[in-house]
Amino acid sequence: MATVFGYKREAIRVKVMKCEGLLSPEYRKFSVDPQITSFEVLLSILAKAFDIRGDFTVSYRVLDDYGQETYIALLSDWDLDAAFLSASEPYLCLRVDMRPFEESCEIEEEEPVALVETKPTHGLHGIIMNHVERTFNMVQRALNLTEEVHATPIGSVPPRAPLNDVEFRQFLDPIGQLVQGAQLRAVIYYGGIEPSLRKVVWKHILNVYPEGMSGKERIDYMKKKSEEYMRLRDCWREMLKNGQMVGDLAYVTGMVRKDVLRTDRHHMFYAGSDDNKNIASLFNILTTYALNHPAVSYCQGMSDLASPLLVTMNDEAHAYICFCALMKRLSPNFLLDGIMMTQRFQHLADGLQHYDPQFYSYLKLHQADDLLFCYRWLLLEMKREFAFDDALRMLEVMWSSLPPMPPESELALYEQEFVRSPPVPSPRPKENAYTKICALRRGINHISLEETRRSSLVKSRPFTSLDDAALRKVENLQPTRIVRNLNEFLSLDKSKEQKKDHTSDNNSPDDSSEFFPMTTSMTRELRLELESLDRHVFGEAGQGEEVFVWENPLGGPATPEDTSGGEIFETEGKTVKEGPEETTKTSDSTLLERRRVTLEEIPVVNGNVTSAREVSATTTAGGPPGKSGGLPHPHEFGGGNPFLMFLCITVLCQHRDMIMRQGMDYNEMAMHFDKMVRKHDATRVLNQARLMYAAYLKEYSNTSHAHLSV
Amino acid sequence: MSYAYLFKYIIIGDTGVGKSCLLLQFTDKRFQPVHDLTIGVEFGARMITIDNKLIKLQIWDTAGQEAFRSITRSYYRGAAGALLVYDITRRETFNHLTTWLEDARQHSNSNMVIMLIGNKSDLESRREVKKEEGDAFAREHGLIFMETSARTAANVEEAFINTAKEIYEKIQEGVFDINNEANGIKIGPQHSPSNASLPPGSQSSSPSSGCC
Repeated sequence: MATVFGYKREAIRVKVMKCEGLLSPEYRKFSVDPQITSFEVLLSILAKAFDIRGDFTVSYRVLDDYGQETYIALLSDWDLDAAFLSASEPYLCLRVDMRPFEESCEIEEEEPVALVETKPTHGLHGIIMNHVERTFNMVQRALNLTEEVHATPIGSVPPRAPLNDVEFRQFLDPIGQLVQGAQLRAVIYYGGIEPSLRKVVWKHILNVYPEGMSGKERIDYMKKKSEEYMRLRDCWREMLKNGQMVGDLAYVTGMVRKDVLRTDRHHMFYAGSDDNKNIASLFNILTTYALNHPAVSYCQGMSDLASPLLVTMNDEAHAYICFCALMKRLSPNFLLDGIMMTQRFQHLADGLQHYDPQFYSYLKLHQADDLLFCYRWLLLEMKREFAFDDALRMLEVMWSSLPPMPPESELALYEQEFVRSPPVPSPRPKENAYTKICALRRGINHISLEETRRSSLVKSRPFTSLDDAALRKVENLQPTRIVRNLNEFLSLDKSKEQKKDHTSDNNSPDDSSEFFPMTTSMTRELRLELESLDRHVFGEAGQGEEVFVWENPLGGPATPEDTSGGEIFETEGKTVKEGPEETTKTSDSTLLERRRVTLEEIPVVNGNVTSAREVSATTTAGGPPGKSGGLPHPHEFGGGNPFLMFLCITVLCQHRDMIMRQGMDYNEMAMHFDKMVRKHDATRVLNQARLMYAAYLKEYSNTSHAHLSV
Repeated sequence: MSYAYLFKYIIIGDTGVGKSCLLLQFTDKRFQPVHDLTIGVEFGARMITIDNKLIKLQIWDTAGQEAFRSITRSYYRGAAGALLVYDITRRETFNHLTTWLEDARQHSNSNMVIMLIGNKSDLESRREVKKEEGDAFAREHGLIFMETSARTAANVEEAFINTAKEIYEKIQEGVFDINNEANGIKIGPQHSPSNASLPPGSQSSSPSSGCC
């Protein structure tokens, strides 16, 4: 790589400072030939020079405009080229930081996980627990999960080579229609996709296309959709140009602008100065989405999800279309009522308790069973836990683990189209908010007559009547508990908290009257009131029971994971309110069927690697307790993304030994995982997660008939 | 290295005021204008010395956007110190202080030491909030106040260390119950009267010769 720029210099002198916790820095000097020194070579030189065994990060020194020393992360050949070019006179000054274990420098190195095999049973009791442990041992033996990276040929090899061009064409008929989509997903699930092919195949696995399109039709469809995107985008851009910075537009652009400047900037696609055109594209995508999806609007984390799409598509409109497809599934995560995220946390806790009860009790003992340190994992679906390119692989594997959900006629690019000339900003934003909520409420199709009566009662009154008294009156119909934080929400202990008037309780800084985007906040706040109103009155949470409201200042529309055990994919259609009609109806049994077909009938190309069938057979034989029944159904587990749960559980389990051995407390654990950002080994994690998922599905397919006949 | 005390801090304030940059400047002594957007919460730690005693600061850096507020709140629990940050070049971040403060007071223990920080003091030409205003706000609400620059490192050390000094003073005055970890203070492993603060099993159940 370093030859790209044709360096004239033959040798570059390098000075390195190694920093490790509070130890005094160590220094080394050497020279390298920029023609032949790749980033990888440099890393191995550094590792040798300081005799480093653990993970470390490298940065290089530059002088910024202020003449201040700054260290810039050195993460790729590209960075190294930049360093050679710009910062190597007279020396290239590097800094090596020991990570991610700098917190624990006083504690010994991690033992190979494989040692678990020979350990006694950790005092586990009961057949079930022994089963779990045996399964884990088998999994670990199968994958040879040791920390020595190069000594693990099986664990570090994906079960299958990535889907290539020739293979992909076998999934297309003579006019380019996709045939055997389930098989295609299966191939990707096991091996991912060759990078050059992602631009094409991602659109299929992200459910951009309606079923049965020919190649020509897909091209026309994308053209038409791209034009539609341009129209949506130009609408607000026009307003910006005319200086109409009001309401949502001001709020959204302000937030998005700040965030795109700090999203994946270490990747060369977004690197360099802040006027990088790709950053502008990311800004356009997120702003267009937020303005045209007022129920979701913009929330931090979305930029992390959109970024890989833009990098892969390298086309703003196509990336937007993919983002809309992705957000069809993920938007509930970003709703401020927190219901979906709470459910994901709960399922993760359930899953961990199920598969590793010992570690779970450890967490419980340290009051870490709220698993809050997994927040980023769940919100971004692990995107930031792996190096960027590994994350692309992980994402495509995860997406293909989900059943296909093609849009019926076409994918909606807006939920409610952003209007060109917004109403004059009202001095009383509540009025705007109320209007919006009425519009939103009308879109929600609940069947209960009772509800219709009630909500029309609310609607028929002027907005000013949505006061505390009115709300309290309705609330009184059912015992309500305001849950103050997620921890409490998850544990739901029995002590009853004083009922609170959460209208006055919910002030958040963004509601202060000086802050312009009040409309958005108010919309959401009022929406929450209405939402919880529904819940209180109509007892969605089960009749005669307490209603738990996660105390959160803001709310969102109905989310798919209502406690009725509802089927997520069906509800997804319901949440789309004013966009083009688009519902996906699939019966329970077909979905499960599809999922099973997808993951069990896998054409495994590399003969030497265990096939899916063998894998599930092996793991089930070792047997997780015959009670996957204890875990939610695949449609529900992890909010409809069970594979994500297994990714998270895998990561937790890969670190559990070290955590328990070092007796890490809550904070130390949280810091440990925080430091692992972008550093997990994607192949190892995916391999183990696949095994666990296969066993789980097998378990479910065995019990599903009883389950589904209900 | 063993410490006498561990203090837990939390950094709060609107999005984009420079919370993560302050933390990085304090823990790594560098300014990184381009960093990841904080999702949920991130962490840093550094050892300092007060009164010849080693004190470990464990710092929780939170996301500023209100969507994360409910998560942020659960982190207030068990914090001994809070840095409440606004951006002197953006008036609205100053205007939101009251609600941040209410939130912090409501969800933390009453002895938590709060340091008000007006960040980005290097951007004098774009200043929207006068230093006197920060001062007045702090006086009115009983906070310590400082203007800092994560870019030039001005006052960054001082902000973290002065907060620690105040906590330390409170410990000496007996205001903090140091045996209650919910106060965000932990006695170092070798300084505790018994081994009670060590989690059970951390010593006995694991073979200790893992190295190589």
